[in-house]
Amino acid sequence: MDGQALDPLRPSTTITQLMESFGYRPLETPVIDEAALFLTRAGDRIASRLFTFRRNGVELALRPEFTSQAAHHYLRNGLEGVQRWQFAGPVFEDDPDNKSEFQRHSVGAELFGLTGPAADAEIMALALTVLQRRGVEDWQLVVGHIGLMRQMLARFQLDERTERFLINNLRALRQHGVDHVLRKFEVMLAGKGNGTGAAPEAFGSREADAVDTGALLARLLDATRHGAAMGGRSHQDIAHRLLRKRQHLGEREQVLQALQALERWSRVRQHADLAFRTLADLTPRAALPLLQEWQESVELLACYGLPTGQITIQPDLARTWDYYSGLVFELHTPAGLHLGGGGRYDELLSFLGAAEPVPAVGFACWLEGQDAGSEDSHASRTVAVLLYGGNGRAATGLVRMLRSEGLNAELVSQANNEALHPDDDGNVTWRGQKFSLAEPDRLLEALRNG
Amino acid sequence: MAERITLALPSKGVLAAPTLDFLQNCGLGVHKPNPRQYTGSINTLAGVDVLFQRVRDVVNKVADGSVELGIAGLDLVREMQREDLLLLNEQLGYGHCRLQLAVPTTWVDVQLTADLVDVSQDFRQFQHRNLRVATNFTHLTRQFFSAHGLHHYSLVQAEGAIEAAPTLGYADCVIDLSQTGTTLRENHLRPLPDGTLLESQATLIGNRKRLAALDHVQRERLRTLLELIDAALQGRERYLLSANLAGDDPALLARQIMDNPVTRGLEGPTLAPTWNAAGTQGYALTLVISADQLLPAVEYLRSIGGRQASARPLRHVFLEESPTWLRLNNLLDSGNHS
Repeated sequence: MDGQALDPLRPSTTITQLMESFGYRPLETPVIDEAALFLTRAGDRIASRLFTFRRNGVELALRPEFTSQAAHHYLRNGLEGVQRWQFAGPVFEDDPDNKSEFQRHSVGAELFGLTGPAADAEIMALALTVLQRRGVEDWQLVVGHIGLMRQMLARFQLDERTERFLINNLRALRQHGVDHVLRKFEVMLAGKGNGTGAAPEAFGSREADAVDTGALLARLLDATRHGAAMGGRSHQDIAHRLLRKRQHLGEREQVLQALQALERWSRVRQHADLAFRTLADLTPRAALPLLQEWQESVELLACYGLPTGQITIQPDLARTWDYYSGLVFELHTPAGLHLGGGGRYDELLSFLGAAEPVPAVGFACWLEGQDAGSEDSHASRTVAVLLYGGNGRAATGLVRMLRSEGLNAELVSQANNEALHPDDDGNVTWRGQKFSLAEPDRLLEALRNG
Repeated sequence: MAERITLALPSKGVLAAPTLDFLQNCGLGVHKPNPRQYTGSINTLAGVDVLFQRVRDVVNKVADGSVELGIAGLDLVREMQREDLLLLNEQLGYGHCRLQLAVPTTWVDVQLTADLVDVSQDFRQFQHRNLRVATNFTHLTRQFFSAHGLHHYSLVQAEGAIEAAPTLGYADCVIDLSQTGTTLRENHLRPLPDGTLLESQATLIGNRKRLAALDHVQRERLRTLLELIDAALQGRERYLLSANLAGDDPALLARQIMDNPVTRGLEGPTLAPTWNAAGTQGYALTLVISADQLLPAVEYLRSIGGRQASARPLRHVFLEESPTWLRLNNLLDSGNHS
């Protein structure tokens, strides 16, 4: 048996060490934290799947991720400059469609205080190297850029809610086309009930035909006179939203153009070398420097020795947009199994109260179930020490000595040829051979040589 | 002695009395020796115990395998869905209601559920809090909102009087059961046209493990119970139609009757020869038809010479096999294979 096999390091320690070699120090965060922290700028999915409970009037949550806690840690301790942290541990998600899997094991890293392509590339490379160390060689990396998409949308001068609506509906745009999302916009934000949008059966109703801002305002006034339920909205709130819906109706043309531009973007789903050439033609001049930065960060991955053929550019990739602001990426197997993802979130710390903007980028991936056995094959061998009758002292002393010599040792109750048999006279029998503990080196050497 | 089968029934609430009426109509009248007791029996079916529980506990007890069978609303069954909870018949035909999203009538800007997504963002942006939804159906609500892309909300649970929550000020809108919509209207709430989460009625549920473990005697008892329930459900929708038909060729008459799907009956007509006072031969027709076909059937029989049509409601119709019994066996089989 070689030295590798007797490496006392546990499998998870190798991932920790790998990330330490990139400069990422382990940071432990509480499993239970204030719910508000996660909800500050939580993505939609996180918000509705957060495990929350009340205790002494405080709303608490089981952590769904590490990023918000890391950002909070950075701020609370008044840290400055570059900080690199790694995380490992359980995270929790309350999925209404999957009530049986609450908890998953997540590994991740956050890099604060560093901006630019090198930082983005470092996080992507770290994530990929972790996967490779876990034996996932056939990973697929999909890279998008929320920041560039927002710059591209800027020329349409949409209201913030509308822009957010468009980004939240990128998947619908890809699947159902421009008309579908435009109708959805008209129904939802502009209050136009003429189409076959989100709920076609609803439009034949008397309610929908009555959509006329003036008539609705009159009804609102009438209702408030009678002191009816307001459900936490004042009549000003309601009138305000009615007017906003009306204003949105005037945005229709810009929305249509924005959707058409997004659709051209969504068709670019190519390998990096091709994609950036295509995107250069679709990107407005003002946004070209950002596109170049993006390209550089992807090209840097080759310098990490990573196979660039497994990288796809998907400019409309939108993760939980609420907190990502720049490059975003997702990792999966060729079969489409989600392995993790990450991206840049320069705005999160400001939302949490930072006086100065703090650039930040990070990733998280799920490691359980993902080729979990591959590392176990490297796992160190454990020496068994037989425990019987009255030899408790001898056996306990022996395992302690073995462990201090860097071996893994455990007490067992079943005798077999591989187990060490200590006796009360300071001798140990192993594989039929007797060793004296007065000179442990001979025993240790025999064990190390297997 | 063979073990007994237990059927859990709602002890109070809107389903309690109709459930007893329903079983009575099935020929399974429940005997409750003392109104304050939680147990009862079925006179016509030995070996079956009845246990009265709050309706949520009916579902719980069936789900965790404390009892074999239960009757509860589909709403709660879906809300509390668990692995071993089998839906044996989801259309017992009473206790109809719908689980409905409703907003204050003053929210004239909200026409569809999609509007609520935008309103929930208003709450976050302007009031720095989540949209509050009062409901006792948290699981179904979360599924529904998730499907509609509504993510920023808080659930408010309350004992009873959910629909009063917006007026009392501790919720913004509700997801609650409604039979006619009257209670919603009286509380100044308006259901959204695309806001129906579920159409519900009384359902028969069972526990997979307990039902799979029944011995031969218990299985026969269970089959009898399901047969009687099915027969009553089948009978409720059917009439026994009789009429006198003039003519002397029964094959021709039968063909005329069978030609029209309305008068085809379960398996074709029964024709019996009759003689009237004048000595003319005719045929008496007997036919089982579904309730909604009654008038069209009578009209058609008139057109081919039918007279003195009469119809009687049926209490029990036994099909070749009990559909619920078949379904139970399929469910248990599929459970074994998976």
